[in-house]
Amino acid sequence: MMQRHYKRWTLRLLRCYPRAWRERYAEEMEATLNQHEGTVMTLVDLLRGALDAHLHPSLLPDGSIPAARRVRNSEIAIFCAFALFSVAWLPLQGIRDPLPIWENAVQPHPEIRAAFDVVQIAGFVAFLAIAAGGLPYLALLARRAVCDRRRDIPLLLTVPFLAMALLAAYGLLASSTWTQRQTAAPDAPFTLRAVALQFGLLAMIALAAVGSAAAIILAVARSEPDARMARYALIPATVATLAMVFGWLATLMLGMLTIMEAPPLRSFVDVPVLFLMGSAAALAVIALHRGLRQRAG
Amino acid sequence: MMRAERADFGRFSDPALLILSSLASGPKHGYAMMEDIRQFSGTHLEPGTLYGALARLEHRGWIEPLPADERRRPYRLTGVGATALREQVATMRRIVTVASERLPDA
Repeated sequence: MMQRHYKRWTLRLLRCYPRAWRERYAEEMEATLNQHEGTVMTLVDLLRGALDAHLHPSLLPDGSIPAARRVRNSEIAIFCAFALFSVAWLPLQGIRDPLPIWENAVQPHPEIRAAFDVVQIAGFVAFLAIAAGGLPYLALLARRAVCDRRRDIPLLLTVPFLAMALLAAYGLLASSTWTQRQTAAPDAPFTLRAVALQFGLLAMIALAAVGSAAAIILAVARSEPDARMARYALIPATVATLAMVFGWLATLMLGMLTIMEAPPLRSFVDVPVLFLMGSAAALAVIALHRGLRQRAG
Repeated sequence: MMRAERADFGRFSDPALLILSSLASGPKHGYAMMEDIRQFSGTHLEPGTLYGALARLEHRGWIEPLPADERRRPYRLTGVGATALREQVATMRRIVTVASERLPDA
């Protein structure tokens, strides 16, 4: 009974390996797993193996992964890096709230405002570059999916729109409750319902962002890569990567300036924010390096 | 040179040596290798690690796949792989000799 469970899970975990890896090894791995007595260690080992296979695509025999797919995989990784970068970048915008504290802090130290401006510009440039590279790609995917009569890709591409509609509906419902409360009793303490609504909104935003990003990645990964589009998308991907690197450096500078000159703002640029942004920038640089090498090859 | 190449195997370094040793006695498929390795070394290789090491060895050209027998694909040691194994065994033999000489008698 237990063995049957393990077998089912091991076969599921094989799907976590990259497609090219599965095409080359899945059949024989499945045959080996059918004879092997599975344990929890087998599952952990397969997960590690899948991660390793994603990190080392060059291990597969030459030609088993077309160059266009390798370039596209690099672009997907840069998109993931951008999503990670945004997670750290968005809360950083709260540094100006409340405005009087911000103004008091930056008036004697214009360099803090300059560093923050660079952080903001870097975030916007990265967003525009990702949109410039991603939207034509998604439009092409949708057009091809309609021609090929595929249902999965259009369905996945509707997830971001559904998420936005749900968020808007929730926002409207929640804001009417907040407005009623503020009008009726502006000084009243927050009720449990108001707090739940606020946390609900945060959870919805996080869920919508993660779900939309995952759906887009899945739609792109499931489609056949287009060599011309993959080559074109490397240009905005390069811009996005550079913007993330500059954004991280500017955030680092902002963090140091707030520690030295403006302690009230210090809590906004903490270690997790710097770590997340730095990891995102490093991931993007590695992925871009691989993508450019594949294109040159 | 060979040591530098083996360093690229990372955590797959020991499994790679075990696989090469197993294939030195003739071609084997995945499960047969796992069983053979368990018998001669007592090491219980899991399939994820086995195939991670097989991919690296194949990439280096130290082993090569043979036509699949039903769904099971046997692998065999190549000439380069046999040389790599010989060098590795020679290094290990030197280490064993030195360690034995330096250890005080029980």
